[in-house]
Amino acid sequence: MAVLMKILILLLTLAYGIYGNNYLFLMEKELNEIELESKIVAKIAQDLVGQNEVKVYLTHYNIEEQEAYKKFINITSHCVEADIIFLKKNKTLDSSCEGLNKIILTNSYQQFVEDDTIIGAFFWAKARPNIVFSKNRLKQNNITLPQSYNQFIEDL
Amino acid sequence: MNIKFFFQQNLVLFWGFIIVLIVSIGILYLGTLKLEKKLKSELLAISTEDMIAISNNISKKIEEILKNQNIDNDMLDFVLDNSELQYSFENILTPIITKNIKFAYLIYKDSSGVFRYLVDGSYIDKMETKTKFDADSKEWFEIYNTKKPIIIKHNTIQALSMTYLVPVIYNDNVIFVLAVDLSIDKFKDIEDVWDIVQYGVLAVIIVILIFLCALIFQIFRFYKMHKAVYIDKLTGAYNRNYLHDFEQVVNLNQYILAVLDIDYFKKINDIYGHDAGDIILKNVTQYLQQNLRDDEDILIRYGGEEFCLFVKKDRNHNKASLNVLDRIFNNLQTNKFEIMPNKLIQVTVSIGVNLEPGNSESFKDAFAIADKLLYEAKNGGRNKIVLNADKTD
Repeated sequence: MAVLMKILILLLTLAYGIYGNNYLFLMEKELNEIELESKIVAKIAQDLVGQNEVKVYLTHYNIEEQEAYKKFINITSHCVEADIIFLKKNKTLDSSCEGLNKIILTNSYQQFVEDDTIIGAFFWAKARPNIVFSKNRLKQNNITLPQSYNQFIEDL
Repeated sequence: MNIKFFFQQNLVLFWGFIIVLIVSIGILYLGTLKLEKKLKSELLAISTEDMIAISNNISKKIEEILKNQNIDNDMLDFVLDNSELQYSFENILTPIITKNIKFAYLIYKDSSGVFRYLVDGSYIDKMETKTKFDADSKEWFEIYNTKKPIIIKHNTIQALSMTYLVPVIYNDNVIFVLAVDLSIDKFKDIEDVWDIVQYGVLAVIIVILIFLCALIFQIFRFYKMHKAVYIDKLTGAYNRNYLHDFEQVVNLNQYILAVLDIDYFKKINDIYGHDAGDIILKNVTQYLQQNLRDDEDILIRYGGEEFCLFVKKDRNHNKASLNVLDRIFNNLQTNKFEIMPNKLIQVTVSIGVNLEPGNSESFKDAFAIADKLLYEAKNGGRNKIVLNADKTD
């Protein structure tokens, strides 16, 4: 119940900046950076897939990071089973995971810009969380995000 | 003067002092709590003064560089295409990075209204030009209207305490925003300093309270000790020690001075034993105390079976005080005291009364007169009151 409430608050916060005048990200003091990241990524994953139960495949994340993510989302160790693949900064996808037509996110803006297969990024910059999606890539993958994400969608 | 009243008066003053002290300590402590916000804010202002000045100077420097470009076209596009210029801006920003100044960078708004990095002077977490920047508060937008520096205090970003935004203005418009992020360490340092101050104040308060407790304890010990020193253990009346102190401060004009002696007391001791004698002393004392007026008359046992009475005059008349003595004397004659089960005896007293002790040069002289009159009463057959008849009502 507490987790749902927090996610609801996160959703409301993400929805707050519909017209781009307020970019507010929920930062909970009791969570560290990786926990907060995993909460946000969980929300994004659910909205991308369009369902609450989502499986995420994390590439090149250490055990501590995976444990933090597990508190908020389902982690799978096989990319085949995953709904979302979350690439770590500048790491490439394993060959076994290529061509699976999965939704791919990254935590590197540069990687997001350069790699056409990556539809969005969540990354930390200057201690602030940043979210970005490619309009064209979302379209290509027939993904429609809620309106609250409009401020994060770029013409790329 | 009644010792009880003496101590009561001083106790009132004492407790008044204690209450004032405790209230003062309370105000002091609450004052520090109230001042906390203001003082921390002042400390922060002092510690960020230089950073703010430097940031303002950098902004002016960048404005100067832009002015010197002599560009008629869109300056923003010009800068975005000019890596050399970007590099020079970066070189201006990089030197201000310190342990407390975590990041320093220039942000611009693109044609779609999206914020992006122009240059980043930071050593760590360095962002590439045109990387998207998600503004985390309304101040990023406000600065484009106000064209004045703004401070953002962070409550939610854990690593940063505040961000100082300075507009870089070209042709009267905000073209870039210089952002300087201060590390949370600065706040923590200020918190640490404040904690030390608070602990210091608390320590002082605790020390004061400890001394206060020790003082209160000593006062009570003093009071108890004095009480023991002044009170006769057997009868509960004041004793010779009290008389010695009281005679220094008493205004003899306010009293008649009587010296009372229990008749044949030695005989009572011899016949019935010392225990019976003690009972008589206790009972007679009790009887006298009951018949004297509270807070006006004073009873002192100054010898074995001898008592000194200070009976307060009523507006310089002796009548009321004489009535007291008269009542004591007469009623005592009809009173019987039980010295052992089923054994009652009567006692009589002899009293010498100095009606004008104030006329004597000292208490000693006044007492001597009363004592002499007591002697006359004894010699005159006992069971008598003898007054000095110089002045009577």
